[in-house]
Amino acid sequence: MLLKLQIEDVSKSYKGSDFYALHEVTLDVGPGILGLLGPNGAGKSTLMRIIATITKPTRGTIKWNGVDTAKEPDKIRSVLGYLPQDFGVYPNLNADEFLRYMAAIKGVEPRAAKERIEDLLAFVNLLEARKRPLGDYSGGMKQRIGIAQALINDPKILIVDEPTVGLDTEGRVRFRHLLAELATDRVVILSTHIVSDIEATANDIAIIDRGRLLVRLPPEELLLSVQGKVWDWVIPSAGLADAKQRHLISSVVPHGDGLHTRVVAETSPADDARPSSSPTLEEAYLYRISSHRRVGDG
Amino acid sequence: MNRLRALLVLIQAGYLNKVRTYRFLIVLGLTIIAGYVFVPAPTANYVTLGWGSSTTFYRGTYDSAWIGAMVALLTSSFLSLTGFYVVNDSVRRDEETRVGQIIATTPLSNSVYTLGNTLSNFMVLSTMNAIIFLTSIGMQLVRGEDLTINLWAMIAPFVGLVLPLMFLVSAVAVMFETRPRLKGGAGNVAYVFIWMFSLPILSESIDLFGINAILSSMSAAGLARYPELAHNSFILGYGWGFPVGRALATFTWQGIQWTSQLLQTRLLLVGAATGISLLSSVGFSRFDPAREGRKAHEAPLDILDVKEADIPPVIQSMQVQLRPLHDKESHFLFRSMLLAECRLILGESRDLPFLGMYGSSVAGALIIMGLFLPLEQARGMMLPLAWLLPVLIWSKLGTREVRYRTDQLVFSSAKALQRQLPAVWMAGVLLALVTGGGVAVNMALKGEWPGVIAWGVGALFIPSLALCLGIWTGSSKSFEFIYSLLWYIGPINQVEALDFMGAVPESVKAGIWQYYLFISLALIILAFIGRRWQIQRG
Repeated sequence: MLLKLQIEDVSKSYKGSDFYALHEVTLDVGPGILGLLGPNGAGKSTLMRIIATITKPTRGTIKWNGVDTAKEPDKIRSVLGYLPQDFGVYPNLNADEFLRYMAAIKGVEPRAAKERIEDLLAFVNLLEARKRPLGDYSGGMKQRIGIAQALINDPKILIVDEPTVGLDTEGRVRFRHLLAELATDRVVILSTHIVSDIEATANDIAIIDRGRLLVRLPPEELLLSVQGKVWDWVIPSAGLADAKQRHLISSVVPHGDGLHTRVVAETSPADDARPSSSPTLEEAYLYRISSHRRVGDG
Repeated sequence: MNRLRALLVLIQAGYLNKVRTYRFLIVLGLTIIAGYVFVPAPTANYVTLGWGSSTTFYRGTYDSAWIGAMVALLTSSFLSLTGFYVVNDSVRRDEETRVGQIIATTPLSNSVYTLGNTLSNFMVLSTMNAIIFLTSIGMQLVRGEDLTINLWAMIAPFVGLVLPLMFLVSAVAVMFETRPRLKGGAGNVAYVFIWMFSLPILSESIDLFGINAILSSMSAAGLARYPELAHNSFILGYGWGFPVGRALATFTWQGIQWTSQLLQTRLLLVGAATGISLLSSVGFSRFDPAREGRKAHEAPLDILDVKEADIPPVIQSMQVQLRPLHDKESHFLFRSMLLAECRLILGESRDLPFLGMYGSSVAGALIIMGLFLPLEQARGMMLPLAWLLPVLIWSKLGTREVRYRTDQLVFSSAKALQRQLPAVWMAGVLLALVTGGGVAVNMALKGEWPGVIAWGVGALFIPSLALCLGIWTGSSKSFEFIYSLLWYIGPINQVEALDFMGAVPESVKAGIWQYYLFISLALIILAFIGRRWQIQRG
C-alpha cells in the first residue's frame, strides 16, 4: 500500500498579521518516523495541525498519497491517528466510554473496537483505572488516554505532538519502542523539543525554527554535520559566566581541575580547547538553531 | 493598602476580560438598539410607557425628565435579566483557565475576591447603562419634541434607579457562581424563574425598580391635565397593536421626586448587594474541587485518592501486543455513533445538578403520569415538566467539543459533519422522545393525533434550538436562558404562538406546530453551516 505524505511550500500566517508561523516548508515523508525538532514556538504544532487537517495552510499544499488534503480532507482523516499537544477529554466519561466514543467517531466496528480498547488499555496500563471518570485522572494518565485514542483506528499515519509530556522515564522509553514498532509500515510524525525522544528511533530528523525548515537529515548524518564544531574546554569556575556570554555551552561538569565544558562553535573558543570526538545529537541541534538565529538576527 | 490594590487589580482585570469579548459587543449592540426602541416615534404601532385607549394615547412630552425616567425603567427590567448572563462567568473563567488555582495560592482573601468580581461585573453593567444613557440623549434630539437637554433630569434615574439594581445583579451573579449547585446551567435556568417570580413580589413590597414612586408622580401630572386618564389602562413595557392614526395627548412631567423613602430603598439595594457579595465568600471553595459538595459527596475515597503513583507507570508490560485492525473492521456505523452520543449524554447527566439518579426517577415518574393522567393535565402539565428536566443536557449539544477541548480529536476524524453532528442531534431528539413519551402514547391511545404531531415537532424543535445555539454561541448559556423563557411564556402561560410543544389545545388547533417544524429545519441547517465553519475555518 502506498503511504506518502508530500508537504509542498506550506506557509501559514494569521489574519491581520505579517508573522509567519510557518514559511515555505517542503518535506516528503514515507513509512518510518520523522522527528520534528524545534524550540517552543518554532511552528511544529502549526505544521502538525495543518497535516491533521485542523488548520488550513495560507499557501502551499499537502498531499496524502497524491490527494490534496485541503480539497479532500477525509482521505487522510480516515487513516489518521492524531494526538494534539493540547487536548481535552470528557470528564464524566471513564476511559472505556471515551475510547468507545472515539472508536465510533472513527468508524471502528463495535466488536473490533472492544478488542482494540482492551489491548490499548493494557498497553497504556490503565486497565485498573478504566472505570474511573477521566475528570479524576492525573495529567500523565490523560496523556496515556490521548495516546490510546490516537491508536484506536490502527492508523496508517500517526501524528503525535509532544507525546511524552507528563510521562515518566519508563513510559517515555516504552512509547518510543511502540512508535518504532508501528513505524515499520506506517508514517509516524513525532514532534518534540526533547532530543532524546527521537534520537534512537527517528529515521529522519527535521529541525524547525521560527517557522522555517532548517535541515532534514538522518540522525547519523546530522551528527556528522557537527563533527569538528564541538569543543572540550576546561575553564576555572570563575570564568563560567564570561564563557556563557561569549559561547554556546552545551554542558558543564565540575572536576578537580576546573569545569569541563563543551562548547558548540565553528572555531575553537580558546587555544587550550580541543575538538570533541563524540558530538551529540543535542549539540547538532543547538548548532543548527544557533547558526540560523545568528544569520537571521544579522 | 495592599488589599485595596488587589481589589482594584481584580476589578480592572475582570472588567477588561469581559469588555474585550464579542459577546460584550453583541450585547452592547442590542443595548443600543434597545435604547432606540424604548423611545417609540409618535407614529409607531407600539408604545412603552403611558396610558391608552383604542383612540388616544397619553404620555409625557419627550423631554429629558420623561425620556430619562422611561428609558431607565425599561433598562432596569431589561438589564436585570439579560445583564446577569453577560457577567456570570467571572469565577468560571478563573476556574477554566486555571488562573483560579494561582489566585488560590495568593494571600488574597475570599471576601476581596468576591467583592472584586462583583465590582468588575458592576463596571461592565454600568458601561452598558452609560451607553443607553447616551442613546437616550440622542433619542430626545431625534424625537425633537423638546430640544432642551436637562442633564440632571436625564441622568438621575440612571444613577438612582438603575445602578443600585445593577449592583445587586452583579452580586447575585457572583453568589450563583460560588455555590456549587447554582453555578453553570442550573443557575442559568434558576435565575430566569427567580427573576420572573420575584419581580412582582419585590416590586410591590420594596419597589425594587422604583416604578411605584415614579408612576404615582407621573400619574398625578397626567391626571391634572387629563382627568379622563383615570379611566384608561396603564402600559409599561411593549404595548403593541396601537392604530397608527391614534390621537396623542402629551403633558409635562417635572421629573422624579427623590423622597427619603425612595432613597432608602435604593440604599437598601446597595446594602443587600454588598451583603450578598460578602456572603458569597463564605463557603467559597477557593478553586479546590475536593471542597465542592459534589466530589466530596459522590466520590468514594479511592477516587479522591487517585495519584499518579497509584497507577503503575505507563506501558509496563512488553508482552502487550496491539492486534491490527482489518479493513472490514473499519467502516462507519451510524447506530454505533448514536449509541456513543447517548452514552455521552447519560455520562454527563450523572454529574449535573438535579439530574443523575434522582433526575432519572423523576423523569420516570413524569413519563408514567403523562401516560395515565387525563389528557388535559398530561399535556398541559406533565409534558412541560418532562421537557424542562433535561434542559441542562440539551444545552450541552454542540458546545462539548469546544468546552472540553476535544475539538481537534473530533474534527480531525473523517466526515465529522455528516456522521457525528447528526448523531448529536438525534441523541437530543431521542431524549425528548423518551422523556415526553408517556404523554405521546396517552394522546395516541385517545386518538388525539394532531396533538401527537405537535408533540413530535416539539421533540425536533428543542434539540435543534439547542444544537444551533450551542454551535453558534459556543456556550450552553444562551439555550438555557432562551429555552427557559420560551417554556415559561409559551406552554406554561399558554401563549399560543410560543407553544412549541403542543401543550395548549388551542395552539394545536391553530396549527402552530407547522411554524415550529419550519423553524426546526432552519435551525438544523444553521447548525450544520456553523459546524462546517468550525471544522473548516483553520
